[in-house]
Amino acid sequence: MSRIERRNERVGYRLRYVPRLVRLLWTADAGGATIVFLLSAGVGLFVVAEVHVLRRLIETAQQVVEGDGSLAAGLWWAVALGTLALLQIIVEQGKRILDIRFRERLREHIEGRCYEQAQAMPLEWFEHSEHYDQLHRVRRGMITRLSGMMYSCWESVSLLVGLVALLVYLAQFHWALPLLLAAGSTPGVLLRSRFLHQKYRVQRELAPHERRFDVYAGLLTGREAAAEVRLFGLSGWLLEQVAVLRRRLDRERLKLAGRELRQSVVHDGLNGLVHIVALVFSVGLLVVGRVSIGTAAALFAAIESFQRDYSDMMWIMSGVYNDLRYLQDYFEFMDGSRLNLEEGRRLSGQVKEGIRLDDVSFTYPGGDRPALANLDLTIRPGERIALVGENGAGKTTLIKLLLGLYRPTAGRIVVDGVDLSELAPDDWYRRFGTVFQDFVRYETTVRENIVFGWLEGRDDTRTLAATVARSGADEVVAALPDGLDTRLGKEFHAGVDLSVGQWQKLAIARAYFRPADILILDEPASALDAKAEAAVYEHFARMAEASTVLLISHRLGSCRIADRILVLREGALVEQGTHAELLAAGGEYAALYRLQAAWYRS
Amino acid sequence: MNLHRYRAMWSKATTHLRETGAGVAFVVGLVWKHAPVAGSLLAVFTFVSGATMPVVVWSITGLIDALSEAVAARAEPWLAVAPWLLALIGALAARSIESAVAFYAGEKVAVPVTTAMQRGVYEKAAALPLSAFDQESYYTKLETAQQFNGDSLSDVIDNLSWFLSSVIGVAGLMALYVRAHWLLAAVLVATVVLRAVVESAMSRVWVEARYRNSPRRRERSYWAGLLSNRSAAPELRLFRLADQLLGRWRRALRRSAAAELVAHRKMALAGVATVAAQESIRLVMVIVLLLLALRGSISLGELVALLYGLSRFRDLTDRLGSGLQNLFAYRAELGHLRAFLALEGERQFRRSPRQAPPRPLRQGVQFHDVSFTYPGAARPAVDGVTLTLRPQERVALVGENGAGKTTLVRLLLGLYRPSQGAITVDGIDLTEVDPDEWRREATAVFQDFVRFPTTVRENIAYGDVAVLADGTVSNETVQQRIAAAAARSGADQFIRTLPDGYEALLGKEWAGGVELSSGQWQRLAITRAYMRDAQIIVLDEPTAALDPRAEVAVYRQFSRAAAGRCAVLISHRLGATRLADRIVVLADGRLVEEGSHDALLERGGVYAGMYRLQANWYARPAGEEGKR
Repeated sequence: MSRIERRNERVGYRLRYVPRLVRLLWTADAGGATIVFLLSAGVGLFVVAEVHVLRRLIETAQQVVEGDGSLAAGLWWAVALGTLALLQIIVEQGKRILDIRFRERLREHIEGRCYEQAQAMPLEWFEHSEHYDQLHRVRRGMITRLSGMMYSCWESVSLLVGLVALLVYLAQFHWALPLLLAAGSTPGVLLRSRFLHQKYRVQRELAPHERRFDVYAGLLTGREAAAEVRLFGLSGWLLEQVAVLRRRLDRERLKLAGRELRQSVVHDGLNGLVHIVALVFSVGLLVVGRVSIGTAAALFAAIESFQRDYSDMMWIMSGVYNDLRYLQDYFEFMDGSRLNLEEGRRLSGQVKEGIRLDDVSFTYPGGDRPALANLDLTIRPGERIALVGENGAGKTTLIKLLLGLYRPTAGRIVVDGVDLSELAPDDWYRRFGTVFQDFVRYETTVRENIVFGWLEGRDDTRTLAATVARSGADEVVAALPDGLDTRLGKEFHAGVDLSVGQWQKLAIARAYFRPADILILDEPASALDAKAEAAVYEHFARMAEASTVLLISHRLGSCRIADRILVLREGALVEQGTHAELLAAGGEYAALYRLQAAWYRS
Repeated sequence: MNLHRYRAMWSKATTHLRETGAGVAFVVGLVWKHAPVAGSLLAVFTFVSGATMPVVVWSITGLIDALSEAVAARAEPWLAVAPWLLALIGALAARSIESAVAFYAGEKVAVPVTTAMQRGVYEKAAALPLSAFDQESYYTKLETAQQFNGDSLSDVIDNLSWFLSSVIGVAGLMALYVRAHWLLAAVLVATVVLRAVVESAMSRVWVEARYRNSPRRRERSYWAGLLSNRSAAPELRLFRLADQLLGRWRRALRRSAAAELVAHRKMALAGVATVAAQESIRLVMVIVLLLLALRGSISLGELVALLYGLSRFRDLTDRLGSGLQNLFAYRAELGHLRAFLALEGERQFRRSPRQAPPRPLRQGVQFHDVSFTYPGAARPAVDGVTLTLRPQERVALVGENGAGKTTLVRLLLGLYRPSQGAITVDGIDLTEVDPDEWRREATAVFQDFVRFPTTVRENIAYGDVAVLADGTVSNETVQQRIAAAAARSGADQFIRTLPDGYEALLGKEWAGGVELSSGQWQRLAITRAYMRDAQIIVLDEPTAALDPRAEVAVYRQFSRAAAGRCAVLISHRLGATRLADRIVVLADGRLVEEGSHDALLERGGVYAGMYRLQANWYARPAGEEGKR
C-alpha cells in the first residue's frame, strides 16, 4: 500500500473536508441550510416529548382509576399526545419539503460548479486518464450521492439530538441510567468505525473487478456493440466472463458480510445486554417504589426508543462514513487549476503577419514520445494549407496547438510577434471555425446544431440560410419533417436520428456559420458520399482570399488546390510545397498521391 | 357521470395494487428459488421482530397487575414480577439478536438472487434480435430493467420484511385490544387500512410524476454528460458553448425539480392529513380506555399497557407506511424488469426446425423483393430490392449517405429480418436457418465498429471467440493466428510499438490504458474480421479514417480476402469500387443501377456522375489548380 493510500485510510483525513462542505452548504443556500438543520434538531426532540407526555398520561390515568384524579386531566394529556404527534408530522413534512428545495439548490450549485470547472480546465487536463477518472468519480460519487448524503446528514442530526435528549431526560430518574446506556454504546461505535474502515478497504480493492464487470455487462446490453456481439457470436463468452467476475465479487461480498456478522454479534450483543440491564434496573425502581407506574412505562418507552434510534444511528453512520470519500474527490477536483479565458492580450483586427511556430514540440501528458518534434513553420494570412500524413503523424495535435487548446511543451507559437500563451484564449478562439474529427452531435434542433458555431449570430437568418446551402446541409434539412426546427436525437425526446454523414454535414455548417479568420477542417469528408465530399472540397478551393484555411485530408486529390501542402511524419515536418513541387520532388507526398490517383486512372 | 370517474379511479387503484403484488410475488419467487434457506431464516426474523412489540405490551400488563396484587397481598414483589420480567428481557434479547443477524441473512438472500436476476437480464439482452435495439420501447425496458439492480432488490426485500413485521405487530396488538373491547381492535385495523390506502394513492402520485418527468431528467443528464465529456471538450471550448449548455442543464434541472416538488407537496399534505385522522382516532381510543378502566372492565395493568401500546402504535404504522410506499415505488421498475425478461428472444422467432447453412454456397444469397422498415420509421430504409450475391463474387454497394447500404448489409448478415419479401441462401429461406450458424459463415467490419475496452489480443480474438472460450488463450497456435491476422491487416505495425504489445489494455477507462487513434482502432476492427474463415465478408466503409497508404493496403487485402468468398464492400471511395466484379447502386432504399464499373460508366447514370466527380480531383493535369 502506498503512502498516499495509507493517508487516505485514516478517518481524520476524510473528516478534513467537512468544514469545506459546511462552507459550501452555506454559500449554496445559507437560509435553507440553517432552517433544515434547526428543524432536523427539532424533530429529534419529539422522541423525548412523546415519552414525557406518555408518562403524564399514564400517571393521570392511574389516578383516575384509583379515584383521586379527574377525567378531564386525563383527557388533557391524551389531547397533548395527539397534538404532539400532529405537530411532529407537520414539522417533519415541512422539513422534508424545505429539505428537497434546499437539496435542489445545493445540487445546482455543486454540480454546476463541477461542470464549470471541467470546462475551465485546460484541454491537456483531459488527456490524463487519472484526471478524467476523477471527473467521473465526482459525477458518479458526489453528484449522484449528494441527495442521500444530505439525507444522512440531517437524519444523524435528528438521531443524535434525540439520543442525547433521551439520556438527559433519563438522568432525572436515576443518574446511573444515562451513564449505563452511554457507556454501553461507546464500544459499539468504536467497533463499528473500525469495521467500516476495513469494509471500504476491501471495496476499493474490488473496484477494478467491478469495473471489468460493468464493461462486459455493457457490451452485452449496450446498443453500440449489439451488431458485432451478434455477428461474432460473442454473447456466450461475454456471459461467461460476467459470471466468473460475479462469482468472485459475490464471494468477497459474502466474506465481508460474515465479518460484519462477527462484528455485529459482539456489538449488538453488548448493546442488548446494556438495554436489558437498564430495563431490569427500571423494573427494580418500580418494585422498590422509587418511581410511579407512569414513570416506569416512560422508562420502558425511553429504552425502546433508545434501542431503535441507536441501531438506526449505526446504519446512518456507515452511510456518512462512505460519503466522506466523495467529498475528497470533489474538492480535489475543484482545486484543479483553471484557465481564465478572458485574461491576456488581445489582437486588434485580423492576424496580419501570420502564425509562426518556433521549434515547437509537444508530448502528451504521460506519453513517452513527442507527438510533434521541433516544428518550424509559418502560416501566412489568406493561405490555404493542406496537412497530409499517415494516421498518428501528429496532424490533429498540430491543429490543437494552433488553436491554443494545447500549449507546446517546448518552443513557442508566435502570432504577429506576440507569444500565443500571452493572448486571451477567448480572443484567439473567436477567430477559428473548426470541423473536428470527433465533432459533437447536439441533441437539439438542426438550427441550433448550426448556430452553436456562433451564438452571437443566432438571429441572423440570412447568414444561416446561406451557410446551410454552402455546406451541403440543405439536402439534410429538406428531408426532415420540420426543416431547420426538427429535433435531433432520441436521448430525451422523440427526435430524428441522422446518419454519420448527415451529422458531419451539420458539423461543417456549424464551422462555416462562424465569421472566422481561420477555418480548420479535420477530415471533414471522411463519412461523406461523393457528392457531398466534392462540395466540401470545392468550397475549400473557392474560399475567399482573406481567410486562412487548414485542411487535413487523406483524399490527396483535394490537396492539389492548396497553396502549400505540409507533409508530417512521426511528428516531424518532412516535406512542404505546392502539389506540383512535391510531385516533382518525388518524395513521400508524390508516392502517396500516385498511390491514390491510380484508383481513378483508367 | 361521477360514477364513471369513480370507476376509473377504482380500476386504476386496483391495477396499481395488482401490479405491485405481482412485482413482490416475482421477488419472493426469486428468493424462494435461489435462496430458500436464507430466505426462510429471514422470514423467521421478520416474524420475531414483528412479534416483539405485542409481547412487550402484554408483559407490561402482567408485570403491573402482578406487582399491584403482590403489593396488596404483601407478597414478595420480585417473585411476582419475575416471569413477566423474563418475557420482557426475552423480547429485548430477540430484538438484539435480530439486529445482529438480519444484515447477514439479508446478504445471504440478496447475493444469489441478484446474481440470478442479472444473469437473466444479460442472457435476455444477448438473445434479443438486433432490431430490438432500434426500438425505443425495448430500450426503455432494458434501461429500467438494469436500473433495478442489487441495491433495489435488497431494498424490496427490506421493505417487504418491514411491512410484514408491522403487519404481524398490528395483528398481535389487535389480539390484546380485542380482549379489552372488540371496537378498539376494529378501530385499530381501520387506522392501518387508512394509512395503506393513502400510501398507495400517494405513491401513485409520485410514480406518475417521476414518469412524466423522466424526459426532463434524461435531458439534464444529457447536457451534464456533454459538459464533462472528453471528446466534446475541444469543440465546446472553441465555440465557447460552456455557458450556453450550462444554462440548458440548469433549466432542465429546475424544470424537473419544480415538477417533482408539486408531487412532494401533495404527498406532504396527505401525510399531515392522515396523521391528523390517525390522532383523532387515537384520542377517542384513549377516552374509551379510560372509561373502560373506570367501569372496571380492564385492570390497571391493561390500561397502562394499552396506553403504552397506543404510544408505540405510531412507530408501527410509520414503518408499515414507509414499507408499503417503497414497495409501491418499485412497482414500475419491477414491471419493466418482468416485461423485459418476458421479451421474445431471437430463437423464439423461428418458424420451423433450424437448418445448417449450406457450405460451400452454390447459388449464393438471393434477395427477393426485400423491404425493411425500421420500427417506428415512416418510410422503408430498404425498398423492394431484388438482388443475387453469388459465391466468390465481389460486390460494391454504392450510394449517398442514408441510401440504405448499411441496412441491406445487416439484412444479409441475418441481423435484421425483412419486413417484406424474403432472403434465400441456396434456395433455403434465411428465417429457417439457425441465425448463429449463419453468422458464423460471415464476417464484417462495420462502419461504427466497436472499440472494445479490453486488451489488443481480446479485441482481435473476438473475431473467432472460440479461441478464447476454452481458456487456452496463451496457446501458441492461437497467438500465431492472431499475429497472422494482424499482419494481414497491417495492424501489427502499431501493435509492436505499444508498451505491452498484444497484452496492452485499451481505452482511457483503465488506469494505464492506451488510447488508440481512430485509424488504429479501425485496423483492429479489420483484423478482427480477418479472424474467421467466413464464406461472406462485408466491409462497411473500412477506410473512412485511414491514410492513403493504409487505405491502399486495406483494399489490396480486401481483394485477397475476398478470393473464394462472397464479398460486399461499401465505400464512398469510388476508385476502390473498381475492385468489385459488380457494382450495385442504391438510392432512397431502392436498387437503381447494377453492373460492372465499365458498364456503369458507359451508361452515364448515377454511378458515372459520382465517379467522375471524384476522379476529377486526380485526373486534372497538375499545375491548373489554384488558378480558378
